[in-house]
Amino acid sequence: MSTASDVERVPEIFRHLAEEGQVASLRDRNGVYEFDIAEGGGKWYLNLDHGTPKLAETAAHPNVVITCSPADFVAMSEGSQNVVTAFLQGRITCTGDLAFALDVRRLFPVPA
Amino acid sequence: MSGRTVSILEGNTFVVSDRGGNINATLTDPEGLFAWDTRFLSKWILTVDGLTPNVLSTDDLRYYETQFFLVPGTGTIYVDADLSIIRTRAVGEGFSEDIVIRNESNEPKEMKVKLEAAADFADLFEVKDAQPKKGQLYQTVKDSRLTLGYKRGTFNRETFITSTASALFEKDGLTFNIRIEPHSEWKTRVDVEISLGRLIERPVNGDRPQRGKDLTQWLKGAPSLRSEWEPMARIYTKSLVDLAALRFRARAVDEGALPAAGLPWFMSIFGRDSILTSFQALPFVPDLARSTLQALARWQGTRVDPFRDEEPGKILHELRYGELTAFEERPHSPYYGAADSTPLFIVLLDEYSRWTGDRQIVRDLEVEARAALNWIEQYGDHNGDGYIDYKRAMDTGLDNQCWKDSWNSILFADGTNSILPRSTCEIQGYAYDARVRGARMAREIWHDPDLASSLEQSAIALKDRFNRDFWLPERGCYALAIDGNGRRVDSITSNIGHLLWSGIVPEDRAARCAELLMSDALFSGWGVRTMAEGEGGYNPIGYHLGTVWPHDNSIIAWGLTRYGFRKEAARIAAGILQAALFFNGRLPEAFAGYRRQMTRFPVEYPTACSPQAWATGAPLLMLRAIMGMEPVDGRLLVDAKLPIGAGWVEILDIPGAWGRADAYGRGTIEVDIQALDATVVGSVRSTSAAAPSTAPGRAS
Repeated sequence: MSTASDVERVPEIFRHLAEEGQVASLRDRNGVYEFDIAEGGGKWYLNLDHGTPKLAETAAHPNVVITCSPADFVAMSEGSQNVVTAFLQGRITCTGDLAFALDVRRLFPVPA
Repeated sequence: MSGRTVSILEGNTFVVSDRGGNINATLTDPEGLFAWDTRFLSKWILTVDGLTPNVLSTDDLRYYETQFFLVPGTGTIYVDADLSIIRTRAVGEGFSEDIVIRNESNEPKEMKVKLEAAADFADLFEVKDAQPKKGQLYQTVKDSRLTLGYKRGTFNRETFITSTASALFEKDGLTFNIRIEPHSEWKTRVDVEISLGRLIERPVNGDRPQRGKDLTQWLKGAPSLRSEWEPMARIYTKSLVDLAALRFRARAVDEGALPAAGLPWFMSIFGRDSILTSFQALPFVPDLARSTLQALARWQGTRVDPFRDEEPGKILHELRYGELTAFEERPHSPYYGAADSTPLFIVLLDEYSRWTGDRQIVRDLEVEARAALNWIEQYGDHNGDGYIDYKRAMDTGLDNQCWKDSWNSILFADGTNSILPRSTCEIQGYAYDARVRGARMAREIWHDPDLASSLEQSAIALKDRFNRDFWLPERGCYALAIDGNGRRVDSITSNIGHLLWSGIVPEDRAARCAELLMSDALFSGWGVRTMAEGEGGYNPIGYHLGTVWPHDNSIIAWGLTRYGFRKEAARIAAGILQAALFFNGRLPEAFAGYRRQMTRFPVEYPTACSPQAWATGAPLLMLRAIMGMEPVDGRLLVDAKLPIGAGWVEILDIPGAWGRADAYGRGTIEVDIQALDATVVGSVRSTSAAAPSTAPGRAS
């Protein structure tokens, strides 16, 4: 169950993702993620340009739409929830390109 | 597959049924419709007026479609039937089944046809366990559709069943009350579709893949082979067709088809299996290697994760999608417990580039290749002794993380087990080869002479160190491994053949390796045993303790070829290709290590999958070895040394950096085993196909 704190952290996590620069292992990937963070987390568009994520205001044709709760999103960003098993469990919904969706795991920081 | 079951597949979806098309899963007969490592149907039984029809014949010649020809059962003895039933099943994401019932009599017929359906949604790893499910099973009927479902929290899997003909839908299946006029027929199409709940949406009733057309194109794209010894072409074609069946398009990667490990249970991404199969098939269907490299690069490890045995730069062992993986009761998301897949990744990358002339892929995968080379240097050697070793971090991991992955494969000559962590010899050979090849790529393609020099020096140092530490002077052989106590594991095994392949063996020791490989202790007459007869752990029917593995032998033959032992390579090729004839051209994963003179035929070892990917690839690498095919400066060098019984061999349109080229050879090598003889035909039935192990990987 998400807390108010989780919801509040969502924008900060996206801003952080967009400031990280190019992710080497995604250097040949281009496309747009649409994140629908439930429970008031909002819609977010992340444009991946040769592995460099940038936030966008909107996107007409995202490659994939990923839906999850604020709590799961925070947990993935902290590394306490494995992205692949979150997909398999159905904690995350994916509509579109699954391979591209699974690349999201490369965006999150490596847990300690 | 066993004689009692029929398997068809498309991607990672497959159906295992009895020869009448029915599915009735039990702990001993793990039948069902499987997809994404989950059983979506565990019961699918057709009855006519309450009786199960008798099987006339089954056409399972295509791997993606099958037909069952049935007549109604009388319940007592056979009488002339005037009804015939044809079930035609094609697998997609789920399957579709056309049922046709013909009334061959002059009278109208009325009957009740029932399809009983149920699903237990067992994880592939638990099909032989009677584990209670942790979630809830449910069945619903709505709008002429039966839904079988399973829910555990947000984990949801469903099976949808619909029919084109009118039916009575109930929670346990669907019933057709039909009347067929004389010499007429009734038919319906039943669709069984699967849903992964919230994981991914898929188009309902999407187009079925055109596998027949695809297979034709696949075969046309490969070189053609003719031989005076007719079975050679048959074995070659069988290998190509089986490789086509084993191609796997994972939704989790988009790099194209790569070879899965085995049909049907191991239709998933495996590091070691996919790499070795791609290497074997490289001269004939090089695209497999490309897809394999790209997919494995995409899943390369990035972090230290003890549960998954993941480390930065490490190439995965196996990726799975089932419930146990989802809830982290199994580590396959993905699991990285293979100590050899990372150096083998480098080996395949270099070999693919040299064979095809594709330098761009080496540039494209530079980041991943450097990370893999770094893993070899930094992470692979856990105890700092200069050798790659392995020890699972958690009990859910694999005990042995080399290709001989059964728990007792690394034994001392007295039969006692070694302790972890283990550094097996062939992995050091792969690491040597990876450094040598990495140096070439660094110098010629990445234009990084410093890295190239560093890798070359590291390779030389490893070779010196290895030949000092692993050599057993008292046995004149390399140790199988160095164990956790620093002891040299002194059994004589087939692993020394892999050392020849890697090039880590100095010339002055290569002859001794070849002598041992061809000795009566190791060579059974059909092939080289995994462990030599006379060793304490030797067992001709022990999984890695004396059986003969065709893929192992293909690597050995290639290693012998590398050092110029062409007669020995030809002898092994002759033995393995002759063995293939006893299995209708399809080599099994392994067969017993009994002496050839004793059994006269190769005794198959019961294994989980058929075809098995690297057994399928074995004849291809054997062909490369005896034809002496090697890419040299963008040209194909052919130096055939064939067994005399092979007569002549012609391979046309071999793809590579040269475009297309042909290879010819004539048998000149005397081999002192039974000459290649086309009259040696027959069929050896395996025992029942085993279900997959419940442990990670394949071994149990």
